[in-house]
Amino acid sequence: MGLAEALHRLGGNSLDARQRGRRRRLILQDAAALLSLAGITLALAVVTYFFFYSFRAHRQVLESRWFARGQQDLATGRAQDAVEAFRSALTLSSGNRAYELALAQALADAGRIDEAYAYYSTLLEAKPGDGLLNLRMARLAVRKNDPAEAIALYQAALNGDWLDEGVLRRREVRLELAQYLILQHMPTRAQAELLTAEGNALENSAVMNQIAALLDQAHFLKDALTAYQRAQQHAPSNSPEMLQAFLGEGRVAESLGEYKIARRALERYLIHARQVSSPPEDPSTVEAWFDQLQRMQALDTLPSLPPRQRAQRLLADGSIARHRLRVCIARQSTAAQSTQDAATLAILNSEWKTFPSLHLSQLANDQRKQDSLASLIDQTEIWANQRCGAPTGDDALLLQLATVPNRTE
Amino acid sequence: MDAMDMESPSTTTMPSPMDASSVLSEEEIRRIAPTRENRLLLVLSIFIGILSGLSVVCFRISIEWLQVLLLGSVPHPGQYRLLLAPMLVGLLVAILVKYFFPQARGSGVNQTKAALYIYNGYISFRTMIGKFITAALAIGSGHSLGPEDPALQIGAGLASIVSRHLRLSRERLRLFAPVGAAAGLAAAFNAPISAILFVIEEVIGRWSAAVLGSIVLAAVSSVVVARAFWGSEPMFHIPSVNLRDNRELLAYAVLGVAGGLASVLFSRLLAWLRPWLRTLPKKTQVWQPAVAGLLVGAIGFFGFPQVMGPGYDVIDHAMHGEYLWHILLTLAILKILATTLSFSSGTPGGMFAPTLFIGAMLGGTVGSVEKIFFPHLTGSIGSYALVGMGVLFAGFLRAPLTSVFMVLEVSGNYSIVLPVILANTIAYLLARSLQTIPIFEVLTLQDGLSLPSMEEAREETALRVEDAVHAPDVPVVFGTDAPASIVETMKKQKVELALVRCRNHRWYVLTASEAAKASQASAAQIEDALPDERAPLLYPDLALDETLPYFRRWPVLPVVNRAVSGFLEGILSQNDVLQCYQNHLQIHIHK
Repeated sequence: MGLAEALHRLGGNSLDARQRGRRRRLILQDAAALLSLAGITLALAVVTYFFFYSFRAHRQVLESRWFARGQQDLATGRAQDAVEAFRSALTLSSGNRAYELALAQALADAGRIDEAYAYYSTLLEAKPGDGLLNLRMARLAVRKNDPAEAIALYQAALNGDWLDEGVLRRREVRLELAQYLILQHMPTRAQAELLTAEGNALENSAVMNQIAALLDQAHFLKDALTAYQRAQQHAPSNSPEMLQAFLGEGRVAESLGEYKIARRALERYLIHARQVSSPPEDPSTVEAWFDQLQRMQALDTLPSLPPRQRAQRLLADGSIARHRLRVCIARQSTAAQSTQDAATLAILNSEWKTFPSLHLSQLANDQRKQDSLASLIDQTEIWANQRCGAPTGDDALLLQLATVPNRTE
Repeated sequence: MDAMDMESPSTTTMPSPMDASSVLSEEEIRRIAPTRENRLLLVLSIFIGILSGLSVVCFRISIEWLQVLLLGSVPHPGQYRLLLAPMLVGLLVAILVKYFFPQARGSGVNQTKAALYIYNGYISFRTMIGKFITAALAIGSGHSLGPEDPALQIGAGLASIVSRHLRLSRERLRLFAPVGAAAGLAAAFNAPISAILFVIEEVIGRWSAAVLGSIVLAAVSSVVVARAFWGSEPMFHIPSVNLRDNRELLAYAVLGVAGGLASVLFSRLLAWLRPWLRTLPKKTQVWQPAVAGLLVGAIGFFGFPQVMGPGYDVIDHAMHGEYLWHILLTLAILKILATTLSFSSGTPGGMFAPTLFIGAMLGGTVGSVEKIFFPHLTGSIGSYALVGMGVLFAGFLRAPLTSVFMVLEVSGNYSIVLPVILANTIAYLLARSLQTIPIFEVLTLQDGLSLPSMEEAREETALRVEDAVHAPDVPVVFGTDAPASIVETMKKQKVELALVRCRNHRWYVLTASEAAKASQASAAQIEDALPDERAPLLYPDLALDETLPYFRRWPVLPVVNRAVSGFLEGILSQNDVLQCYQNHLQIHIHK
């Protein structure tokens, strides 16, 4: 259908020829007006496009500049300036996740804890399952001294989303949580977290050492000992992790009274440390420690020893302890003693008097007397430690033995 | 905008770009192409939407460029440019407004209403360009004003220009101004529904099928264009509000009360300062925007640059909990002051953005404080800030319906709807009871214009037939009755009229002369002697004004029941209708 025909059809029959002509002209004028309007729209669209994108490019430059400035401020410890810089970056790029996290961190670093906490809360409300946000909030709650909130947030961080580094991050969070629980005197919960972490880090000796150290801190010494031993199994030979594990094992075993294990651990440390250029602990220090353990072994009066050997050791330890008691009594003035002290001292004196001049053979044949003497030696060292301060030398070793009743050779 | 300054068109239809000899009169066009305008209407609506969208994108980018150039990428306290830029640009804008663009003053909403109701939809190209330039300069330099109202006027101006270019009729010219206004506002807010509602609620005042389709098309087109540039993400992001306990709504009710009071304070400050500044000597008026700029700049210079400009970034920061409650409260108070200064000085720019800013800060404050005392509340600070925006919109701008949809659209979050409705209603009712006249009307009256009050129109109780109807005081007869007996009855009762119940539950109002004529014709039944015409069916719930045309033919009108066909509820006379309107007016005046 041609244009003329279309125009003819559009022209109503009721119109005369002049009106139809005017009508055709009107249609053409309208078409021209609409075309010109389309042209104007297109031109405006092109102008707007260039205007918009040139501004956006400029804005991106500005926001990157502010962000870089903020990072620099943060790195150089000017957290207050960093806050302003990150806020400026966010003004130019609202909702940018990296900028938001940086701003929250800067607020926290600047000591504006309440602001940082409120900001993190809002970010967290938008992404409640975000592991990193929960962790940072937990750290702020720690700084705000709000243990209940901190633990809940650490827990949320553990359950949160960590993208592709989930296993690693969750383990780190768990260790941090365990450390916090220990500080909050909640060792049992800390132990549960550490044992879970241990189960997920069997082949990582460095993490295992860390877990063992925390178990040690939480006073779960047997678990700590096991963890150190596991760390040794997976640590590369002569690696710092392996040496750390030996040291840890030695320390924990000593605390447990497992002197044989402790000595063996230190021995192994010394053997391996010789092959390493910079061991974590100076071998001479460890050697001194080892000698001390040897001496402790010589002083130890374990019931499992042959009777004669035990009696010999008891007599030697007894003379050390009596000497310590005499020196301590001489140092203490009578007036300074409380009634309870005086009573304890009287008991100790009277008990020592029951062992005036024992013979080795006598003692070796009397199991009960051996036990009584061993107990008296322990009580004497403990009392003297309380009254006259920390002992040195053999007294210190005897005191250590006295405080570990369930020790083994 | 002063009424005196209003640049009025010499004719209702502007000269077209065509050759003068080819110009057809409005009537001739209607005669030779009666469907032309209807066909053009939808195409033009889309064009207006696209043009408005592009213009508003340009307008907002201009503002942001100017902000970067004049105030730096991000203004910080202590920068001297914060004092200088708004002051010097204020002076420049005042000169431009005084000597080149006198109609560019003010927000743009009232100017658009004036164009619609007084100037037949005429907005000059100069006004539109002037609004673009002066508002961009003022807002970009840090004056506490927003871009939405000017965008509304720019859209309306574009629509006016386009419809004049196509030589549309006066009726269509008037229709296109609100179409463009909706398109401009929709692009500025990135919220088509709110824009449509606002234009209907505040500019047109009522739903009209003739204009609704065009408004929707234009608004959608403009938003499509705007989203092509800004993206389709909602303006603000807040997490879902999960009301675990309905008692938490009380917390939002508190926000409604606070918002209502803040709206009243803001309105009263504006209503006082604006006319007071106008009473100052005329020569000072060119300096007023500069002084206002200096004072607003001083607020920024001495620690709160957030109050400068529209402040959407600050609203976003507040929603993300970046500010503590005392900072939020300070910002809300300072923004009220800064906006009052900027707007009252006659600086071109809108009040939407400042209103949202104040609302967000107030909402954030209330949310933060409530969280301190009731930490278990599930709503975030962001949700309170968002509801706060709606609250001020409802209380200050008095657009309750728009306020609800605006919040939903700018956040894209439907979960907040209950708190929004509750808080907005409280704020609206409180503000209305404390400040009877809405701010747009106050400003109109200050300008010496008399535009229809949309709030009054909304609240006007329509009178219905049931308000004027009374029990029949004329005889009611059956169509089967003999005419002679009816004449007898009428004589006995000394009345000139009778109601005849006809077949099919219809009624006829019989006059004495008709009855006499039927009697003389010896008709067996009166109905046989009556013409075919019957009285219209009127029901008690019909609008009273709808009855008026019928009184030319019928001296009284029967009112029947909708449920029981033909059951007579009463009758209505012209005098009853007039009496009813007069009584209603008396009551209204008395109130």
